[in-house]
Amino acid sequence: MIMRFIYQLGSPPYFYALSGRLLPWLSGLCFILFAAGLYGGLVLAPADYQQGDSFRIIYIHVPAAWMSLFVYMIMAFSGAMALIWRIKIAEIILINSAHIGAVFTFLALVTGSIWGKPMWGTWWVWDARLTSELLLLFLYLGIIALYSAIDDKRKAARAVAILALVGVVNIPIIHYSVEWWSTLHQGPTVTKFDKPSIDTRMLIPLLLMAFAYKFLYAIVVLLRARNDLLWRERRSQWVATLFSKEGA
Amino acid sequence: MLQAFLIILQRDLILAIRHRAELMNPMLFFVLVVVLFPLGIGAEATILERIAPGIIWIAALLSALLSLDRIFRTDMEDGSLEQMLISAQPMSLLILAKIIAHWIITGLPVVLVGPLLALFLGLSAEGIETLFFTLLLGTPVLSAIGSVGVALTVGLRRGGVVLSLLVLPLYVPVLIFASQAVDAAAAGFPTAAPIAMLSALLLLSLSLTPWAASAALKMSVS
Amino acid sequence: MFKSLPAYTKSKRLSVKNLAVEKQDRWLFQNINFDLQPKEVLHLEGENGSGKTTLLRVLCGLTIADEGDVYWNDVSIQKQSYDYHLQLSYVGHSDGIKQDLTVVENLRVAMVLSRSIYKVSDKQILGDILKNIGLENKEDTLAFHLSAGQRRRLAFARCLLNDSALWILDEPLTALDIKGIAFIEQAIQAHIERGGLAVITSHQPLNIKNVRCTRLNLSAVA
Repeated sequence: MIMRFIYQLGSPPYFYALSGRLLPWLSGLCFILFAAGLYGGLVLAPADYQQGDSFRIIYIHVPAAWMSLFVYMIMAFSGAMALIWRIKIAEIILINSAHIGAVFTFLALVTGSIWGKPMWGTWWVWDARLTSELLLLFLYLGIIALYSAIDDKRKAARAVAILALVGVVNIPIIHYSVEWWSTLHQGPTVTKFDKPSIDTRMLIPLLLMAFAYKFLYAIVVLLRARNDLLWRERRSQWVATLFSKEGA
Repeated sequence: MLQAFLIILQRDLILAIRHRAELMNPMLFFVLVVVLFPLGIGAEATILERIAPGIIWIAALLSALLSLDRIFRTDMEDGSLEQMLISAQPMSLLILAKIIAHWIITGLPVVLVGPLLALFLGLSAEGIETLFFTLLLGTPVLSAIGSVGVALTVGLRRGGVVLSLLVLPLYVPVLIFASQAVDAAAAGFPTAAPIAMLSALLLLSLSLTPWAASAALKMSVS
Repeated sequence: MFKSLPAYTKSKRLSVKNLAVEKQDRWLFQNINFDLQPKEVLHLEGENGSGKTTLLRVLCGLTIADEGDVYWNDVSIQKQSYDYHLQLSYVGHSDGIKQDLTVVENLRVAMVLSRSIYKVSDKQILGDILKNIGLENKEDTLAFHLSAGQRRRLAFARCLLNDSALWILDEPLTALDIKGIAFIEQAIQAHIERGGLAVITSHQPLNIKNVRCTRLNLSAVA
């Protein structure tokens, strides 16, 4: 049953039609979530008793950091599907996620650095989280570089799928080693997440924003994938009929 | 199976010995990089002693990176790789043999020379002893992880830069645990934990990377 | 020459159904079908770039087709890659011979990789094979010093040592003189008479007597 659904989803015309019907709904939901999350976070939530209003950057920073890992997991999962079942759609999702994931990672780094300025008085601290995030950015950039270096795009997708799987095994190891490294070098001075509990009025907008980011990712990846799919299948029958229908 | 492992190991070692001149290059590069640090930073003994483990390990990383290509490149060019892929032996086993051969050719010299260079940088005796063990445990990991990177890029004309971008982030845990261990030893702290982590990395990489490299080679050759 | 070798015991049917390969978003070839019995030769023809080499690589299992499949005795080769590779010898564009290994070293590696029925330590069979290919007294010569014809024969020695029923040969006659061509043709003829199969690409006509030779023109199919 699930397998049949996966195979059906793997058929390019079906995927194109389904994603086309989903996109308006996703966009609407995403807009509502962003509006609610930003209003809740920037207006309704009380100021932090230590950090004042500067804490509000978490509504941009934290979901971006979550997404940076989430997108990599999606990529590893699509990579496995692409390698095992040779599903074209999985390849396309995988490679089109890489740029988005890199952007989220970059956003997390930049906002983390901006947040760091009032917190630590400097733009960059070799803190475990930021350093792991930086290494994650390099993993993304490696994937993008490998994909663009291989001319045959089906081959490139397989290469990237293998790399994503290797990366996903390594991420916990890298993360752990960096955490180890930072505690040994500077001691547990960084306390930005040490709040024992977070006010619900602060938490709910954060969760809303997290979902908004996920929908945003879904929208962008679907748009990119549809584009990519049309280009790859531009010589096939279903693309031809699709455009002759739209032209008529 | 054991026979296949041994004959590939033997084959790669013979090939390396027949190119003696190239054999020295990664090690010379390693020594050169280490020598550059005092020239760039200054010869103040306390600073050098403090950063010696980091210097030696970064040099080891770079020299491993420089020599990675030879694991598969020539075999790709003369068709040997195709013959291995269509052979009646498991590819991952052949790759394991090639990883170990690569380590003996390029890693082992670094293991032997590294402690000597540490002496020049003024590392304490405890530090040098631990450095030797970290190099012994860590350099095979570099060859193993590197084999996956090379397998992915061996078909490319300009694969070198991409290779370093793929491989260096994956080398970070080795760098951290190894230099931590040496730091700890030099400061008189116990080193069991980072050494244990390095051993775990060694076992993990030797058991997993041949599979990944084999899948990557099938992609590169197709 | 070649007469002394016994008939193959594991010769089977090689068939291909609806094979298609896509390259750079266009079909390289589509709807390739054939059925090759023991004692038959398939001669692939077609212009440069018509996909002959790719088709051979698909038959070897090195490249995976986008549609259709290759069957050995009616079972997909993907599902029996070990058994299939035991029965397969491939001589490609790059012959898979290491220039810096001697003739015997090259053959030993090939024997182990293919799980040859002969023992690596068996000097007798190595001597016989070398005599067959006219390389006696060259055991310890580096392959680098062999002529093009000698190297091609060395690659064929690999097929003989494998004792494989299916030979896949990519342009085996190019860059050879008349004597070299005669040798290769005799080797293929003897192989077919022993009950083997062969798939060959060649620009030149093959002069093989009393053998059913099917022709397949890839340019015509496209």
